Amino acid sequence: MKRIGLVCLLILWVGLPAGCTHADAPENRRPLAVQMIYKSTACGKMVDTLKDKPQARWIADRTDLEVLFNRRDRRRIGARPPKWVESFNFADSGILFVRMGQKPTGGYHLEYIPGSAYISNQTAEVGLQWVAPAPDQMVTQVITQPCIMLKMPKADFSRIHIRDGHGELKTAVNRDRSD
Amino acid sequence: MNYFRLITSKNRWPVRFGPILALVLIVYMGVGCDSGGSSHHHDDDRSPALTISQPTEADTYTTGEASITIGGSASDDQGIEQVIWETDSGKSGEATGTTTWEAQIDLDPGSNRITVTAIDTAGNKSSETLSVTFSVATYTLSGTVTAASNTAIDSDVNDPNAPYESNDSAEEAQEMPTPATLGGYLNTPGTGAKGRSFAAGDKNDFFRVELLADERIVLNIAEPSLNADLDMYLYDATDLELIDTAIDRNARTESFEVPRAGVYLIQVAVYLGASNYTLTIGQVQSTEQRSDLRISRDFAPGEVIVEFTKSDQARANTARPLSCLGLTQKAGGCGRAGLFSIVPDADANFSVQSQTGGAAEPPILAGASMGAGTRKKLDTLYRIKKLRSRPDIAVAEPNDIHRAYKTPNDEHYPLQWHYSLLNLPDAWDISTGSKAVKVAVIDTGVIVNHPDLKDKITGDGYDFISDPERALDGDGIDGDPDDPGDSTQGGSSFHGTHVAGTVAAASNNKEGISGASWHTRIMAIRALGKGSVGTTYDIMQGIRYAVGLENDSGKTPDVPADILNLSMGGADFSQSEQDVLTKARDAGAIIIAAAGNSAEKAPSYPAAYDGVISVSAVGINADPAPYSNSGPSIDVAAPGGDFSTDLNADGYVDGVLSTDGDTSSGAIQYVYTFYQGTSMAAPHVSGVAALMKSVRPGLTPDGFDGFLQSFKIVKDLGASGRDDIYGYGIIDARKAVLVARDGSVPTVLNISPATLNLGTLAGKATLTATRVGSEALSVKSVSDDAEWLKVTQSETDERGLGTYTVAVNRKDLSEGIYNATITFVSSENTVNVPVNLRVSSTLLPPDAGFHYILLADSETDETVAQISVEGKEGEYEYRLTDIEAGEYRIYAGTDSDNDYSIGDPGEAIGAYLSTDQPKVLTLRSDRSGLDFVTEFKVNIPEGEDAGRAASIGRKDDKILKKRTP
Repeated sequence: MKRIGLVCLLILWVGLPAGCTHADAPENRRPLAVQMIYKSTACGKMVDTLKDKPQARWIADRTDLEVLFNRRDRRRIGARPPKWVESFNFADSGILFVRMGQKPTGGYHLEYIPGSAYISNQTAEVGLQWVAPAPDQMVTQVITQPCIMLKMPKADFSRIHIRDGHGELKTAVNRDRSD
Repeated sequence: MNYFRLITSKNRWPVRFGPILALVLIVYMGVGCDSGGSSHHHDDDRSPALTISQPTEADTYTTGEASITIGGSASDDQGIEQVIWETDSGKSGEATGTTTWEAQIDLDPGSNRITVTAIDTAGNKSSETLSVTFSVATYTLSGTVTAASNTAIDSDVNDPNAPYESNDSAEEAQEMPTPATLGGYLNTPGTGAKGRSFAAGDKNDFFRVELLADERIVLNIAEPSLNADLDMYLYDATDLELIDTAIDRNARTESFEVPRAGVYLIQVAVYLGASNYTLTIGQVQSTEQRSDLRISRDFAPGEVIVEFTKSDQARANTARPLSCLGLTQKAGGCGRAGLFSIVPDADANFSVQSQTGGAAEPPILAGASMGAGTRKKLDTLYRIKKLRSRPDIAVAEPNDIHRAYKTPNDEHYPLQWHYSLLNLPDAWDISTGSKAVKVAVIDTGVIVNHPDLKDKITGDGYDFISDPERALDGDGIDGDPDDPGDSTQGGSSFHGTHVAGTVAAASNNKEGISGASWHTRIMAIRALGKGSVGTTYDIMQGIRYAVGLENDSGKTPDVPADILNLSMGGADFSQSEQDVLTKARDAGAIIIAAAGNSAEKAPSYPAAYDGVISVSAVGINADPAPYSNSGPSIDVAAPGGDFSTDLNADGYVDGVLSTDGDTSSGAIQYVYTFYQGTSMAAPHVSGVAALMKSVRPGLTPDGFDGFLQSFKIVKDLGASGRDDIYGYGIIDARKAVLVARDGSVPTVLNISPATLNLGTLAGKATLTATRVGSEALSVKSVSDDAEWLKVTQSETDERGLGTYTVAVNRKDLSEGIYNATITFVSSENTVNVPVNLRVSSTLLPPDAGFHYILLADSETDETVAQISVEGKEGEYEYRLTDIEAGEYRIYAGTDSDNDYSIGDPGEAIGAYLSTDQPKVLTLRSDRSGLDFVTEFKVNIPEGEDAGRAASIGRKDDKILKKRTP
């Protein structure tokens, strides 16, 4: 019995997680309409850190958005925020801001993987290509800060996972607060 | 005895009285004979015979001479007493001789009736008459006067006979060709000679003209004096922004330069009096200094330095006189110049205005735009102009702002800390670079329309990205190096634009940023595309093209680049790439590359190749940038920036500020951005190398290396001597330019000037070949690559050193800009001299204005005949008729001020055969083809000759027109 009990426990131990993953089974995924609205390799001081690790931020109102672009323009003279900044409708959408981290050269950038976004288990999953230059490729010797902004509906998710083209989780952000 | 019985018959009285009667008769007849009466009792009353045989036996004669000799014969048995003559006009005289007589008679014009009378000794007379007509021969003179090329005329001069079209406002601005020399006239109401504009005045002339950057405009005032003063104002024609002024007081010339290419309005305005003037654009003039009172001058607005005349010092040092002048004293003391503030004050303005004349306010366009600072500067200059008119003021000057070193006036220059770090301002005091030096930026391309770059980019750039997908411009290799951005999804970066701006952005143009070498030109080579990446092969093709080697485009630039900038890295070592770079260096190019941003000691290529200068990066304190590579391949350091600091507290990251683009809103915005990286460090060194090349065109890659490796162009930082962080040190622009100019270098051939700009007029130039250094050197060959160009030895020694003549044949060249290269090959080096010229058919035909053709007696200088001619397509055909034989000079010119003399300073003047040598014309028959040129003389003589029609050798000062009734 003990053995059977251990076996059952073993079965449960293995099976339960399997049951958990079933919650994220494809049939449980709800597609999420995502649109790329901005990308740059010079996102610089848009966030408070220049560290080279990826970061993400959920922008829920215009003030936060304007702060981002004001910080960007601290290293740029004559630039104006994109026109869509004024007209973005925060009533039903928000903006996912993802930065790649500081890179030593050009050739790095982020690209949204079309159709990769979905909601599952109150988590929005978003796929971005993490593009890097080939090791022997000639690139510009300028420090870059690639970033991307995605328009996302304010659906029922409280957390956002950002994964690369291999599915590896690169960074994540909670929707109800900034990191 | 009875005598009476002697006479009667029967008596014999006759016998008795006969002898007595005979005696009475004899006595009587003798008395009667002695009484002389002609009427009776002569034996000869015939008239003498008289003939006129000279000049003709006919009764009439015509001559063109003013006097005539008549002669003939007279005879009479009794002898001719005299021959006399008389004309119908009352002249009379006695001929010489009698039987053969002669008389010289002055004739009146027209018919002369001459009566000759011969009188014999008996008093008999005989007359003959000769009618002589004195007819003067006249002739015709004709020819064509041609206006010199590039001449133009003010369309509203004072001469009422000249065509008229108002140019008194911006809306009526007269189109002006360039280059051009224009003659004009202005007057305030009631001044100058009577004429079209005397009463109402002609206070402004406006001209619209398209100009190139740095092109100079010069106003020559014909009659500068206390009573005549003209000024100039320059506006951007697009938005009527006031760009500059030239408002000196009593200046003979006023001038300024335009800061950038564009369409401008030039306003010539009269401050006082009346005067002719000439306005020249794009012409070569000697030694004109820019006007004193220009708003482009760097001075403190609202301040003026004033020194009163000695006699007025005491009076000047009271508040009341100063307040009447609208001045309050800030500094200075008695008996010397003081610093004053200008106080805007209506009463003071009136006081100054009433004593100096001229308009109370600057006569600028009503709709002119300018910032508050510019307005204040303008008002300051105008007040200074008025103060200079006062007899109690000896000196009135702007309070100039003197900077320690030459500082560009670019708006964002204060944020470019990285230039001061290299002592570039010091270097700019020596040289700001040369248009003859070309830097190839092999990169992502350049935004060719960026306002701070578009005038600096050569027309021979190229795009070598062979993969259309990576090129993002729809095709592979093409001749368009414009950077379309490196992304199809917005947010592009424009790396090459940033690099190019650091090398040589348009500088000192009051906008944007400054470049390291102000006048160097950029050859944009595109080799990095989508994602800012590129292939070694494409880059190699770009390098080959830039230095004039064979490449996949099938083309090479007329003039190869002097310096290559490669702000890229990442590939491994490639022998083929090393080979290309070696060849590029052998071709004379100095090659600069970024050391890399991996914070590694490993070599980064292309920086680590032999023959390439590898540049590491430092931050604002000259500390090594945290990302910069280091190692044995590092040659030199330069600012690359560091975003982690804002040590100068200017509110911006301590990056390198340069030109950039922003496409986040769709259409490109031209912006300026801080970047960091060794990409930013390399173009600083390229710019310094360009400055060195500008003062020593013969600088070779070996020479640059020699200077670098001997620490002559760097500040040694870090460990003493060479180290792996800074290489030989941080580049020092001032040392670099000085040593390039003065330091000893390997013996090379030097050609001066380094570039030939033959403009629109020059047909010939001289090049001088010299040896630099102490070793032997000889010129092996000299060649050129244009049919319209010919180079020949002029005066050379056995080694070919000396002068060479460059001759240009423009005859068959159509309108446009032409480039060529003269190549000197010596035993040590090869020097290429770029040559360019412009063939300009003016948009408007030459027009020297309404002309008068005058014929003047060569002895008296009196004008004996004149006609007026309105030119057609720059030609004035003339025909003078009924001109008597004689000696004359022919003049042509305008009378813009209507003072009845032509060719005054500021007016057109021409003379047959030339104004330098007016030829005396002997007229004895009709003459045609008497052609000559009319033009505006720009170099108005000084002193006694001022006011004299330039250099025509006349006794009097003026060539006077005949006054018509």
